[in-house]
Amino acid sequence: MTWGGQVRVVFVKDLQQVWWMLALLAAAMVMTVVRLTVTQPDIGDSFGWYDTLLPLLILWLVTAVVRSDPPAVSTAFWATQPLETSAVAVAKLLQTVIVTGLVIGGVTAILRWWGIAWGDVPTTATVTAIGTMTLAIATAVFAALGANGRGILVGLVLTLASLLALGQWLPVSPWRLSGDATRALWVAFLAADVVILLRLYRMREVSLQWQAAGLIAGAGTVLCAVAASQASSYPMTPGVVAPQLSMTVDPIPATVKPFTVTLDGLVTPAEQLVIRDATIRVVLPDGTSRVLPVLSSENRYAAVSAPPAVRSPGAAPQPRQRTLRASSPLNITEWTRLRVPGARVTFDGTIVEFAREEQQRVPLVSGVLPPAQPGLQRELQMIVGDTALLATITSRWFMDQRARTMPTALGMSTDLEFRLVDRATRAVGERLDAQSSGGFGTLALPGIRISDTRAELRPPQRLLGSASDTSWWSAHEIAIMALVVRRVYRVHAETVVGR
Amino acid sequence: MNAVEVQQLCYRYARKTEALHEISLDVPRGAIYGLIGPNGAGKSTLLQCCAGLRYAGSGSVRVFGADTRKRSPIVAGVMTYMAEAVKLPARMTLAQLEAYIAPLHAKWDGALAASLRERFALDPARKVGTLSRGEHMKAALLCALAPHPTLLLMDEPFTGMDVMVKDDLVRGLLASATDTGTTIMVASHDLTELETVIDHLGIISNAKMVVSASMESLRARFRRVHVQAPSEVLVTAGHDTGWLGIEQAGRRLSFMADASRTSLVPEAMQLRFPGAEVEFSEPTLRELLTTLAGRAGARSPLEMVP
Repeated sequence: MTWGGQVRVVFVKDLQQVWWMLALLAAAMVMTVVRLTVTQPDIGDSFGWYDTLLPLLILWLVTAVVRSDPPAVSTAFWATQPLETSAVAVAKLLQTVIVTGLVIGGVTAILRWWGIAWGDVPTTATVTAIGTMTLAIATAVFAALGANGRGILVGLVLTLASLLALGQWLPVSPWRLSGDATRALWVAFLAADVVILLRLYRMREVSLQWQAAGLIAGAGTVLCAVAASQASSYPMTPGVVAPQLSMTVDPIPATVKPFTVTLDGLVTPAEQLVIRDATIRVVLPDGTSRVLPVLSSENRYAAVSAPPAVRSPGAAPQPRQRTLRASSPLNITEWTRLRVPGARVTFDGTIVEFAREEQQRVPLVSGVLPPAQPGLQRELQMIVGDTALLATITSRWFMDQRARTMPTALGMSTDLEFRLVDRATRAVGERLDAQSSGGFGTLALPGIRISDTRAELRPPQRLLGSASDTSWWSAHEIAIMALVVRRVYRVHAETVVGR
Repeated sequence: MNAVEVQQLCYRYARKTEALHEISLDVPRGAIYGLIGPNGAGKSTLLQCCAGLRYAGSGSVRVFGADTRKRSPIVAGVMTYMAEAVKLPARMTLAQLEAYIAPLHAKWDGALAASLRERFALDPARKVGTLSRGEHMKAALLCALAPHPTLLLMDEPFTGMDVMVKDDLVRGLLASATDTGTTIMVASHDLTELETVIDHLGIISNAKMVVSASMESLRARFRRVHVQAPSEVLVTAGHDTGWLGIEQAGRRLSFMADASRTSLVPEAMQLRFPGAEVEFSEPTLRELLTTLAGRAGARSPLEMVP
């Protein structure tokens, strides 16, 4: 029988063995589709234990497929049949394609329901496909290790432990990879998984080294997938900006002190600036050095100390001088050791500039708003009889790769700004006080992120009382302003601690 | 060209435990080669090396002249291998199992499979996972025989089989397989069943090949000697260094020795055991095994064989 024929025979055999598992997976996917389209739960109920169902089913199914013909077991039935080892391995990998196909089918249905154009579906679906393949192939490698399938347990424990360690270590590590590098590493790990799986099927006895390689490759793939989902890809502006760097001394005595540098001389019309992937390197006069990660409350993203721009509504923002502060918390002993005269301090990082743009203008009428962009659904609820509360706006949107450049993906809560618009003059007026809450989740599997937000809009102080009048409502609209990325660039600055 | 040629084969598990040490053997085409030895001697490992399921650390295994490292004889379609501990797909029915593997074998004989199923009283609708150990072995045997292999390797094929089927298998299937030119290599503890069919024997002990030869030459080479004499005669005569498997109880002494030794000539025996009754017989398979492979605490069989 030809090699292709052997692949077909094993593939069909596996399909006949696990069809009921595939049916379960399909049913879970259909439930997911229904849940995220027809019966949308309230914010807070959207993401929970249910999201683990699909990954667990995939884990179970792929393990069953691999363990039905385990590699490196001389008493395995397939090994006593005229089957090329590569044909068996490829047949197993094809099952992961079936699994991925099922997931993509469901995801496509969800995206289409949410108004994503057919042309935009492949980009988003590809991310989901790679995410699902990552889970399936890493599971296949784990399941292939060891004679009795213990590899799956060891692999899962290792992966979970690594994820926890990564969550602790990455924010304070100076060795952060860029989004592109993480994605490249991810693809490399995926390729390694496939090679190792093929190799395991060829081997008659798996050495400890190959078992370790399988565990590392499988866990590495999942880690890179998670890291890549958190990394952003920006169109970088070429070149490096070199602002002035100065040191500030925190006047408040404390046991934990921030080692702070101040970036001066950034002239930009941007209304928000975010420092990303930044490190401070301190070289002491004795030649020893220390790399400090720049931290913020969102861990991966530095705090923004640039004040929001104040400008006339509708007016184009003007360039202005900015000062950004970046700091790294240290204990008092280290802080004292590093802040010695003559120490050379270097700052390296990426700055993302945001500008606010009007995204949508909506009348003050309760109901579902027309989509401002594909994948975004908003509903406005006017509050009757409450003079302090004008309205609530709930939003849910599916973020594809491009949407990761949005500030909400960076953990910023000041994503949206709401301004009153006079319907008669069309003039954009005062800003409404907005209290936002919400959360992030993934669409059943890694790949597509979902964001739910709820904003409570309060009228300006001077309009309290009058804003509860429906005739006033009909005379006004709300302009929803969103922050969008304007520019992303590398920054390098140096200074010496003064004597 | 022999069906199987093994030269100086060494194999270590996890590069540590020595499972096979400089094993050499030849299995002629059309032969039924019995491989016997104590538990853990290396029989299954040797068969797996011959099947290309394990790669030798050193030495070579050739099946019909082809190096098994370069091309698995199973994949090449010249061999089927029935492993003792083989795990058939438990969720499949027997009919599904046959339908799965039939297209993989160029010479799959559906009629033979049906006949074996009937002979073994196997229900095609039953799931493999529900079969008893004996039925499981029968199903594995069916899978090994139906493709009409040129070379058939069987590891403990009689395990769990009832006497009727064993008898049927031994006298019918193996004999007919030999008639059609199939070479068979079988490892088993079931010496009674083996003795009636094998024409070549290999004894393996402590990872080493003790002997590998045709049954004819082995029977011609060794003699079992039974001496009936007064105890004092037996004590006076003592034991010769070339005697193997010595058993003495009262007036009776029994041992195995190389038939070519001059000390076994009747006149020499009479001189050594005056007035004794001396009988010679061909050693049984059990005697060959227990004597040549040695029991626990015995000297190395290789040292004992003259």
